[in-house]
Amino acid sequence: MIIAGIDLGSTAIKLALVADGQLLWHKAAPTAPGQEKIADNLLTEGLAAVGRSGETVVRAVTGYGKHLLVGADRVIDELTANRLGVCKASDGRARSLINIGGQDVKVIRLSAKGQMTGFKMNDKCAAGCGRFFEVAARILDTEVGSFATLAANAAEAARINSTCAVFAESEIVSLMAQGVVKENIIAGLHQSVARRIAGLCAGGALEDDIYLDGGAAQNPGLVHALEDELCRDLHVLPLPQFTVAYGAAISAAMADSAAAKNSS
Amino acid sequence: MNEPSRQQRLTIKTQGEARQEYAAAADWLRQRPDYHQVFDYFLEIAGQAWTAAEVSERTGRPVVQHLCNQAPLEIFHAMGLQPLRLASGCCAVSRLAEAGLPALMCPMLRSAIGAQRVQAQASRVLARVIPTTCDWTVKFQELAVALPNDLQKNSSSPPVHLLELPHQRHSERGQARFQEELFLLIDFLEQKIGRRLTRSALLTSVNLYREAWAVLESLIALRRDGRLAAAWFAAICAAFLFDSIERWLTAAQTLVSYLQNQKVRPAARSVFLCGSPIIFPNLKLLRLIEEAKMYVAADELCASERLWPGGMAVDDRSVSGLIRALAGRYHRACQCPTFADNERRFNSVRAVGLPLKGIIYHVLKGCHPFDIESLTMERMAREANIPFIRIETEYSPEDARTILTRLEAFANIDHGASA
Repeated sequence: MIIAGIDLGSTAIKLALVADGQLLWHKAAPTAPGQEKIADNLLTEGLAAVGRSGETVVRAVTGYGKHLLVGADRVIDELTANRLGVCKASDGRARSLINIGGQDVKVIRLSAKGQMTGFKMNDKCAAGCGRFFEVAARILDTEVGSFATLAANAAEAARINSTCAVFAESEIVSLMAQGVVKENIIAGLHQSVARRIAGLCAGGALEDDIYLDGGAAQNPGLVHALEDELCRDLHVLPLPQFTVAYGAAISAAMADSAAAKNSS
Repeated sequence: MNEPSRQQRLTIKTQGEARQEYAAAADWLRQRPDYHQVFDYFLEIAGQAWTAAEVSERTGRPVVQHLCNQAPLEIFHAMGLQPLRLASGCCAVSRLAEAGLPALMCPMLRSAIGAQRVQAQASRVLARVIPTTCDWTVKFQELAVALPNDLQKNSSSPPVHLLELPHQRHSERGQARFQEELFLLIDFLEQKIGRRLTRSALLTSVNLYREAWAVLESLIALRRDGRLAAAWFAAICAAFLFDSIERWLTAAQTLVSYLQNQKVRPAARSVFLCGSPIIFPNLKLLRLIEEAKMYVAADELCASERLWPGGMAVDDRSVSGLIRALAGRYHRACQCPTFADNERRFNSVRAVGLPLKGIIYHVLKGCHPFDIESLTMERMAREANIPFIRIETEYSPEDARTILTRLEAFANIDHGASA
């Protein structure tokens, strides 16, 4: 049986095709109107890519848009999907995870058995989230993908006081007007976001080993800044953007397995 | 005929939006599987914003507006007055108050001030009684008069009586002062109505409210065993705040009889809801808790279960004796977070005697006393190994999805697992 884990996030729609607990295929597309159609297209593309078009697929949906997908076989809350995905992908080593999503940051504490024992989330503003980097990238006219390289070449990180996406925008414009180079601004952005996330992790929210996921975890510059701010090492899984979609699929597989046990 | 000003047009538009907001909340309740016509009275009262004039006409009594839970309702009733709570859960009317008020203001009082602006009928309020609880409440009148009614030219604010609240309820001095305050309140009301409070009227009212408190206690017991959802309880409490006690009591007694014949439905994920008030039609958090598959089995919200001041012991049936007994319930037994000595509030969570999934602590942005006490409550919860989540929000629905994500995670968290 193929399970499609679909994470309808605020900035990207991620799809992971899973069979027998193994990830077969994955892809992301930017979130746009018509999320159901985008998810369907990803699914069709994925099934064709793995040569299993026409097979019955269980659709397990999570993310902010999870209720928008009509006819989903399973709807899973984001933190459960996230926990399962990271636990499975880390072979059960994860004891804490930090997910930097498009519009929020989640810090989840896990037991040795992978159960969620506590969590923290930022409030509704997009400060310190993926969207914040997108806003900064637009102002700096630079791809987010090149942030890490540029930050590595910074002579010194610019001080960015505001983590509010709106106020930071004017602060970045002001720094550019003062002639501060892009590299220093980006390094400053990483520090600023890392400080905010570290604030959320305060008060015993983290256990070792700590895993970082979400799209922003693909930015090594941010990972280094966060390690520096937390004074801890962070692990980043190979596909950090897909752990939630993967976890949704794992959750559906577990539910089906439990249902099969009960009926036998 | 003069064209309405821009402000008047906005006010009229807001009236319509407010009506829709109330109707939407009531319709949602009507469409629930646990709806029964026995709830219709509560939906009729809770499902719209009543003006003081309408309430006065419906109840046949002059209206006294009041804030908070500390002014004994029995006193108003005994003096032939209809208490009407100055409280609103309506988001739409808040915008009428936004321009002239502090940005980070208690959403409940901002909405209450906004609601005053859309009342088109001439005010028939005899007086306002304001217990000096939180800063927002103390400054309510000052803020309210800064924003005049747009639809009633030459409207004037009713006379205000500040019921001074000693913030140490366990001290004898505080209790004596509050009794004195109640006598001053009676003096004030006697001057307004032109007659004296009689012992027999007060005793009749005390006995009537005793019946009401007994019914409220029955309803609380019914929600403990899963037979009364929190959203219904909110509608029942709104009707209590905005209608005559006699009508409410009749409808509530019928409801209790109906619910007692329903099956007990023990909820797998029962939660205790604490914090800032939730007032109809602001059902946002209650709906999200249900959506996250949890059941509010108990609360200590001041416009909900805490409306019931607790059993009253009357050993002296003179006016002074009755006032002393009322003071004991409305001051010493009150768990408002504005009190300095409030251990009882934390103990009430422990005393609920239910297997709880956890405590959901609701903080309205700008509601400082509940915000401050959330820290103590969280610490207490940790010590007692009770899971705790703090939800800070306002009336606007824009953060609903984020809150739902957190509540779903809270519902699924494994609190038994060792971290």
